[in-house]
This record gives sequence, C-alpha cells and structure tokens, in this order.
Amino acid sequence: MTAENVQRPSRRERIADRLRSARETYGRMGRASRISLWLIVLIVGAAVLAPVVAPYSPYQENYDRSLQSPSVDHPAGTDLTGRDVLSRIIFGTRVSLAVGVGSVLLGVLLGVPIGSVGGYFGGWIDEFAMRSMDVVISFPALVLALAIIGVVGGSLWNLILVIGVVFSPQYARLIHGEVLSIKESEYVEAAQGIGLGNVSVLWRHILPNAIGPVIVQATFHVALAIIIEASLSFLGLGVQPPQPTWGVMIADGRRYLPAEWWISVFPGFAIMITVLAFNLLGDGLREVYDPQLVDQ
Amino acid sequence: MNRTNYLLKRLFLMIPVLFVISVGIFLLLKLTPGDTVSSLLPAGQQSEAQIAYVTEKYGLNQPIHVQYYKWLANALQGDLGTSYSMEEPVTTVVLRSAWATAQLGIIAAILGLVVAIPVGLLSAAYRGTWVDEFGRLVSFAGISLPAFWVGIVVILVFSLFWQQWYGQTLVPPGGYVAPSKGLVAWFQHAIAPAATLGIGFAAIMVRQIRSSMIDVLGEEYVRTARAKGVRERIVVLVHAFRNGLVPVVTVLGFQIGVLMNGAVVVEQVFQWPGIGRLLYQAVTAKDVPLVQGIVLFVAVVFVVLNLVVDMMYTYLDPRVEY
Repeated sequence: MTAENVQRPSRRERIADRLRSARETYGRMGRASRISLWLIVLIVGAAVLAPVVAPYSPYQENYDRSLQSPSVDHPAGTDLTGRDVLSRIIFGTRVSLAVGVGSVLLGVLLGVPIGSVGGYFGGWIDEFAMRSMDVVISFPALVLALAIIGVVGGSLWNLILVIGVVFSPQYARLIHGEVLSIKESEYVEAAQGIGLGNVSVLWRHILPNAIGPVIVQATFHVALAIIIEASLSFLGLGVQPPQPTWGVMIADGRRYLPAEWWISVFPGFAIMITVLAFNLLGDGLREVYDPQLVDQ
Repeated sequence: MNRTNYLLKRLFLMIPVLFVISVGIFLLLKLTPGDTVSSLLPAGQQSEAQIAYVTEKYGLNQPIHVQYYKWLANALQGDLGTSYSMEEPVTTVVLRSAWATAQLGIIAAILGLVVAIPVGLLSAAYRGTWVDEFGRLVSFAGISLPAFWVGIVVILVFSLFWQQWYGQTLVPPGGYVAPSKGLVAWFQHAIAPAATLGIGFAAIMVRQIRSSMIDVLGEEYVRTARAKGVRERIVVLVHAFRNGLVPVVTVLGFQIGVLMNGAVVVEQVFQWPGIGRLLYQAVTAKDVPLVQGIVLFVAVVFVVLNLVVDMMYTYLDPRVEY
C-alpha cells in the first residue's frame, strides 16, 4: 500500500467535522465560558461596526460640552475637548483587539514551526533553541516588551511585532512537548511506515493532534496582550494619540481627577470586561482540551 | 546524584542561559536606531575625546563579536556603564531601585498569600459548589484587572475622594518614604501600591492553591485519615495543606514575574522609585546603558530565584530525585 491509496476525507467532510467538534467543545464548556464567548462576539462586533454603534465620532470635539459628567446624552461623560468618552471606548476596542489577536497570531506563526520541527527532528540545535526559549519565557513579558519598545519606538505595528516575538517561545515550547510525545505514537509510526514524508507526517498527523493546548494558550495570551498594550499605551509608549486607545484615555483622564473621574474610570472597565472574557473562555477551553482537569 | 552534585550541575547549566541573556541584552544596544555612540553618550557630551574613549572602551570600530566580548568583560566586572540620565554608574542606580521594589514585592506577596490561602483552600474543599464558582470568578477578575487602572482607582477613592468626604486622606496619593525615616510613614506610603500589586498575585495563587489542594485531597493518605474518622477540617488543614503547598512553591519563580510586570506600571502610578519606574524613565530618556543594566539585573535575579525555588522543592518534598 502506498500513500496515494490511503483514502482522505473530502474538503466538505473535513469542514463538517470541524464544525461538529467546535459544537461539541462549546457544549462541554461551563456557563461562564459560554457567556464569555458571546461577550467576545459582541466586543468584536462593536470593534468592526464602531462607526455604526458609537453615538458620536471619537474625534468630534465640542467645547460647549467640555468635561460633562455622565448623562443620557453622554453615558460615560465627555473629556476636555468635549469628545464622547463612550464613543472613544468603542473605537478603542479596535486597537486592543488588533494588538491582542495580531500579536498572538504572530507568536503562533513564529513559535509553532520552530517548536514542532525541533521536537520532530531533535538534535543539539533543538536542545539549545529550547534552552534559549526557557530564558525568554521566564522573563516578565511587560518588562521585556517595554525594553524593546523603548528602543524601537511605539506604534501599532511595533506593538504587535514586539508582543508577538515575546510570546513566540511559549508556543515553541508548548508544541515541542506535544510533538515529542505524539511522535512516539503508533499512528505516526504507521504514517511513516506507509512512506509519507516527514513534512506530511508532521503537518497532517502530528500537528492537528498537538494544536489543542496551543489554542488554549492563545486565548489566554490575547487577554495578556491586551493588558500589555494598555499598559504601554498608558505609559505613552504605545499607539499615539489622537487614535483612541484605552490605555491613553486612562492616562489622559488622570489630570482631571478627582472631579472628572469618568474619563479614567470607564475605559478601565472596558479593559477588565474584555480581558476577563478572554480569560474565562481560555479556562473553559482548557477544561475541554485537558481531560485530566475535567473532574477537578 | 547527591544534592551537591545536583547543585553543581544546575550552576553549570546556568552558563548557557546567562550567555543567551547577555547576547540578547547586548543586541538591545545594536537595535537602537542611529549610531551606537549616540546611544552611549548624551548629545551634549559628544566631544572628540569622549567619543574616542567610548569607541575604545566598547571596541566600536572592531567586528561585532569583539564588541560583545568587550561589553561582556566590562559587565562581568560590575561595570555596566554610566547612566547619563541619572549621571551615576548603572550598577548603583539599579541596586538602589531594586531595594525599593523588593519592599513593595514582599508586602504584596504577604498580602496576596493572606487572601489567596483561605480562598484557595475553601475553593478546593467546596469544589463544584457556588463557593468554588465564586472563587473562580473573583480570581479571574483579579487576573483581568489592569494594575495601573486599579492604582488610579485606589488613589481616586482612598486619597482624593476620601479627602473630600472626611477632610483627610486614608493613604497618600503616592511617593516614597525610606523605612529608615520612620516605619509608620513608610508603611502608609507602601500599603496602597503593594495592595495594588498584590491583587494579580493573589488571583493567580488562588488558582494554584486550589488545583494543588484538589490533587492532594485525592491522595490515599487523605482517604486513610478520613477513614480513621479525622474531622474534615483537620484533614484539610493538617494532612493536606502542607503537601498541597509543595507544587505552589515551584511556581513562585513565575510569580516574581507577575509582580515585576505589575511593578512597571504601579510604581509609575504611585511615584514609587523602584526598578519598574526606573525602567520606564530609562526608556523615555533613551538611556540605553541603563535599560541594559535593568534587563540584565532582572534576568539574573530570575535565574537565581528559579534555582533557589528548585532547591526549596527538593527540601519540601524529600522524595524528589535529583
């Protein structure tokens, strides 16, 4: 029997398969995680449809309405130049999600190939690479990101790049461990036995079975990346004004404390709710993907 | 392998780790836009003599591996260069700030554990009930709170609003008083930033303590204790707790990282002169030698602490083989 003779499911069957397993995953998650998933759908919707959802333009200055406290017209008040805080929070979702999702995608795209190829072939280069990864992983992410951003300068793309690079070793190590254990299993030996090349064995037989923990980690990392972005923006080292971001809004509002407290306080709730939703979703996914945890 | 050999092996393994760290930190200097001389010398000091001195000291006209070697040789002698924004040797500045951060970190860790141990124990003992679910939500909320925002809200409520409501502040809105200048004033200034830092720490510890206690509560010796008729409270607090703490200790090294992340923003909010705020100042002043010094210091502290944690692990659980 050769590799060509092995029946492979059609494209439609594979898509149907994925949908079914996604539904199963959803069904096995706890209530808090399911609510979080819908919350994330809402938040992503708000980011995409920001011009439609936001009551005002985030840049619209209106000095007649400077520093107004929360009211029916402006549920989260206005800032010094009369811009609507709620609209700025809604538009701020865009930067947070872009950095959160973009940096994690980059981290996965960098880390997974390094870790999986290393784990599959082994050798001293792999050994050395993993040791180096351990070093980066043990380092506090915000400290590292701040040091690098300080040197290369802050912008949306630099934030995504730096946070992604800082995250990537975690994916390398995670997938490395998974690949190491899966490559000893019988179905991998069988795939090698029927003459499949190393690349197809790795891509088609090992990675699909190793990706679960990566998805869990990625969900937690989106949450962490949003916090790091907000922290760097708060310090003035992230995305530059007038682009509304939650971190910058909180920093700006500090000058008007305590009288005009709403400028700083409301964006913080936006960060907390978004980050909490990703963290709870990650926890739900972990329970599904790590059966050992289910009965805990 | 006995304990001494294990320790020697671990120390030996630290060499490649520290090598990787040092290369990374050296490259930080090279990543800086513009030429390296400007990164090492402030614009006002670029006289010909100064430039010649720096070029010679760091071998800037030689190949990059020679430059690295020179930088490393200086660093190994404790010479991390001069911070031009502080006009002091980097080593002096870093060590002074590290002490301020350590004060916050210790109080934060104590506060965090005081909260996390009971919540984690209760979550494990009542797992699956509303107590556990509540503990889960609270700890995830704690992980999800941006520390800099919590700091601002703490200042807003306990300092600024408190002043309006009661005519005096409950905590000062920031600043630092050295412990040698009066312990009461020191504590008043330290408690708010430390509590802010402690929230994230406590939140993660709750999860660790809970899952570790659940493991231990499933052990046979716990079943034996229960079978003997030992009361549940004694089982949890005496039989399970000590063993449940062992895995918690192993993640302490990682926890220092959580505290350091928080320190960067919390120290800035509370004007606490620690290493996190120093890093921010160094970054905004483009003081590259100082940034390098801070990153190197944090890295070395990490490597050493992880070693200490490993040693503690073998001490707490004598069954562990080296």
